[in-house]
Amino acid sequence: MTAEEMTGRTQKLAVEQLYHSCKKEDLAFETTEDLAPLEDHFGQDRAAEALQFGIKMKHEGYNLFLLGSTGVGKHELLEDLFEGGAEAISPPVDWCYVNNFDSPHKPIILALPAGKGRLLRSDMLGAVEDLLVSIPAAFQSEDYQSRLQEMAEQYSQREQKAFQALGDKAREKNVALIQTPSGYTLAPLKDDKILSPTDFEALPEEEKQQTLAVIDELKAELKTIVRQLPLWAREGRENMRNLNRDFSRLVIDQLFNELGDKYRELPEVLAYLNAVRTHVSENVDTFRQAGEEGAQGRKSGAIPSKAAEFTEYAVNVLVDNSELTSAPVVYEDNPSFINLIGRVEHVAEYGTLLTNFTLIKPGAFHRANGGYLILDAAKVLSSPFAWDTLKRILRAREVRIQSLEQMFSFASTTQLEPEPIPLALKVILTGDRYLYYLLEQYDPEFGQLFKVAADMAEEISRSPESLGLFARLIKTLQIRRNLLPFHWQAVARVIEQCSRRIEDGEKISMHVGYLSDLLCESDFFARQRNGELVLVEDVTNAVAAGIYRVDQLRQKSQEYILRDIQLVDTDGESVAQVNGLAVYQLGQYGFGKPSRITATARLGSAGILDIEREARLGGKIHSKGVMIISSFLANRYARDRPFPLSATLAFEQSYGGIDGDSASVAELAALISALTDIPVDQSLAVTGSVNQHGQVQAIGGVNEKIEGFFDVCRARGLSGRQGVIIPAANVAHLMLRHDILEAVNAGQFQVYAISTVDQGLELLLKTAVGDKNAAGEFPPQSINGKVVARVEELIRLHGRYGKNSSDAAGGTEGRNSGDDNGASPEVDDHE
Amino acid sequence: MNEVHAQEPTPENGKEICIAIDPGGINQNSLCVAVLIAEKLKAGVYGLVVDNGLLQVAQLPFATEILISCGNERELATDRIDVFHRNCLLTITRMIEQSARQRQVRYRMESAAPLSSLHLVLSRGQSLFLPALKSRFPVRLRTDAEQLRIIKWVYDGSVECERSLALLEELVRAGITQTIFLLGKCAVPQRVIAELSRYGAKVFWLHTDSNADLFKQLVSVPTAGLMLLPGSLLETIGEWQLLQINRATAAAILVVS
Repeated sequence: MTAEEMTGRTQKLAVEQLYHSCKKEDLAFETTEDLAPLEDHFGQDRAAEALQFGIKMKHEGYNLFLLGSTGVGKHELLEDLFEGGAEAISPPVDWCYVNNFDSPHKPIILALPAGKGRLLRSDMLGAVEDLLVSIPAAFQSEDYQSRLQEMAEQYSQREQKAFQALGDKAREKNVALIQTPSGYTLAPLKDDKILSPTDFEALPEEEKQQTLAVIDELKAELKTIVRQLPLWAREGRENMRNLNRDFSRLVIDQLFNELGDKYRELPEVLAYLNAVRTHVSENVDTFRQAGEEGAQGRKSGAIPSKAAEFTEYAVNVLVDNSELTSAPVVYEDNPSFINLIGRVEHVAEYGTLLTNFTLIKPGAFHRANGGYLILDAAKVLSSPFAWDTLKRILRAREVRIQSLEQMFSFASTTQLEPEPIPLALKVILTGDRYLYYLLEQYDPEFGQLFKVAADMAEEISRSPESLGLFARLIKTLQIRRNLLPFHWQAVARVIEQCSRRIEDGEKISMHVGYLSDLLCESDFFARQRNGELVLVEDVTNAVAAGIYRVDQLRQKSQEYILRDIQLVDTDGESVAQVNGLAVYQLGQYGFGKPSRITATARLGSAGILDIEREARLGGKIHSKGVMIISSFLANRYARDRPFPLSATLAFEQSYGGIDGDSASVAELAALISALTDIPVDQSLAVTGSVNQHGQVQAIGGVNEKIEGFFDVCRARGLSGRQGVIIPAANVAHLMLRHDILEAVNAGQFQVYAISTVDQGLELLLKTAVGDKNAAGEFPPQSINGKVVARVEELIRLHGRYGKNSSDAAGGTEGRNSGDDNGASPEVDDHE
Repeated sequence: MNEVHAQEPTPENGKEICIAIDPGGINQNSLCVAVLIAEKLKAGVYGLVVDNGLLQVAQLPFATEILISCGNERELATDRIDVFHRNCLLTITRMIEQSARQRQVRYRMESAAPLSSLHLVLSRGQSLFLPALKSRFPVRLRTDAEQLRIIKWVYDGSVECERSLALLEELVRAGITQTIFLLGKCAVPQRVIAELSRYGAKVFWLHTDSNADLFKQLVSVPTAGLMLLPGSLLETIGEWQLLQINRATAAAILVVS
């Protein structure tokens, strides 16, 4: 029975079925210049609607998670959404930190209408400049100087009068009151001259004693006066302070009354201005000194320069929304802990790190307050402390700038505790689906904080309408990327490649990133040939070049087969040996490769032994596939009797691990061949999974698998008998290379689609499977007939060797039913 | 005798202002005023360090001092006073030297003169400058020119007053002095007031009936930075009273010979 004879029960695919091409009638234009760019979210209605819903929901926790694979166009969708200006969640305000004069380590936050922050900063700087000029001027006025002098005189005279009175009294008693460097002393006088020690000693004893007594008496009075001096001095200082306050108040009050009028509608600012007024009044001398220094300094710019040094009166405009026309939309590319919540910087001064409220820097939350903050979920999760911080802030609805050192009590430098800022924003996380579902599963808070999932479509069905819109999407990207116009055939080729990318001839990939790259690369090739239009060959070249850049491993792999280092037959027949097909996935690029699958079958009780699994090279899905084969065989051939079989299955020359069940048909064919000794046609390769009833099921990587076997066959010379057997369910996925289409068209290569195992066995073993007759028996020369005969033979042999005979292979029944602790497979032969 | 010469100064080759220096008790800032006046009068300065007798008092067996900072009593130590005087004198000498060089004024210093030599100074035809005394009231230090903004001038019609007038004219013309209080019991000629007013100075005449009244006006507010007294007045009021005026005000005194 030849393969051609079998096609009555199988489907030999026509060229049209191998490639879902895009027709001219689907694309009603010559070039993309005839098209209008796309204005809508093509194919992303579900995600766009979810985003609109999330944005409009004002309740707590309605933050958004935009999920989709990398490059599917999440950011483009958000850009489109916010293009015309985002709707504000709260009225835009300027956030400013100002000094807290009572507790400088706890700066005060001011929320001002947009644009007022900058104005207040400028006003405060101007006010300090004014004070630096007007305060010294007030204190240099003749009025002030004369009043100060008067005060000094009053104090001096009060002191002088006291000493004068004492001095006069002493003089009357022939004693002089003399000033010393540190105080006063008393000395005896005679004829208005101080007595020398000799003259004093020469006095009569009585007079000496009398003089000493007088001096002691005066000394007591002197002490009384001296002890009053500190009180007088304190009184004098207080008077001087009052004088200073009176003079400074004239200047300060005028200035701050003007500022108060300007900000009278902002009570928080008025309270701050009052605090500044009080502080300035108490620190007038600082302004006097600095103002005089400034005036003595450079002529121009000296005062402004001095004013900048008065940081305690500065206004740190943390967020300036003066130029904002709609709600802020902030995309934080690096969502680290400090980039999210802001930071307090320090400056080194004499070896010490110092800080103040002017060194507070905003984070993404501050900038996005009142609007939208877009973050990449993976980046947030991989930044230390960022995820917990994000959740804490969303829960608390306020952002508190706190360093990690503070959080963990490691701070050894001066730290600030800025007043927290109330938040009204929505966070939009973007990320892959698996991240969303992982967070849903493992983080109980996630669901409460991110209640809206906007799920982006990865593909759309190919229809005349969707193809037209897709062409307009290409036009949009052409404009955005400044590309050459695309000919309709080039557009068709792009669409076909987008179908190929998702392995589905009836769908188109919505992966905007990939599409954009393909368009840009096609444009590159068009420009290389100085074309004014991107043609189909430019797209083909771009695709081929993209493959070529990453294709080295495939070439080497094929080379090993062609040099018979890895054994794969593409012609002839062999018993218990089938060409399976595997896909090697290297990042975004995958390629197919034929692989020899062999089987053995003998008397025993171990069942079917999966060598890959025993060697810990097979994955769980592969094991499952082998168990299904075992079950299929037992069900079909030994439903009501024992099946004393010890069989083995192996992927020959496979050293890197394997998983998936797409080799099930091949493995079953190898086993049947081993049982029946019917040789397998080596010019065919087969892929497909199988269920317990013998139905063949779809697999992944069908295009790559066919192409992998085709490449080997073509290199050895196409015989016309070669081909690949695939599941019928995969026909819709076929988007094969054009060289294969040409070979099929020329009858040099075939692709067969099968729905049951029996169809595959007939093709591979070139023998009819055989149906049961009325007596319930299979024809003896059919595949089923030969298998049944072999089973009966095994049962007979089993009976002869007795129940106690052990399995020479040493295997145990049900070995495949255990858990797999093997190494992770590197090779994937399933979807 | 300790002399320092900038331009070979001697009493004979030009006019001199004698600055009476009590090393421990003067406001050193007011020394520069004397140099400024000397510059205007094209005169030299002569620093005369006067002996205030404190060292002699310290040698008395019972000598103690009452400390002004706390009212406590302690021994009046000779060594401490000597060191203090020498340090003050060094600073004062440097200040005069620096100021004199800056204004290109001749100067010299003489130490260990007795207080009674003030008369001798005037009798030699030298003007006498008594610097302002130290004040314990925290007043901002003023520049030389600022100290001369207000001047109180005792006018008695003597020849010394004509010299004072010449000095005041210079100061007013230079824009340094803006207010002048004229004190005395004799009538002030109109030309004096006219001369001083010509360059914008405000001149006030305060008539005094007696020396006691004069003394009262001198020490009362408004306070001047400098008092100009004629040498003849010293003969009337005596050195003691002159020193009392000096003590009672924050002003320097220039007795014009």
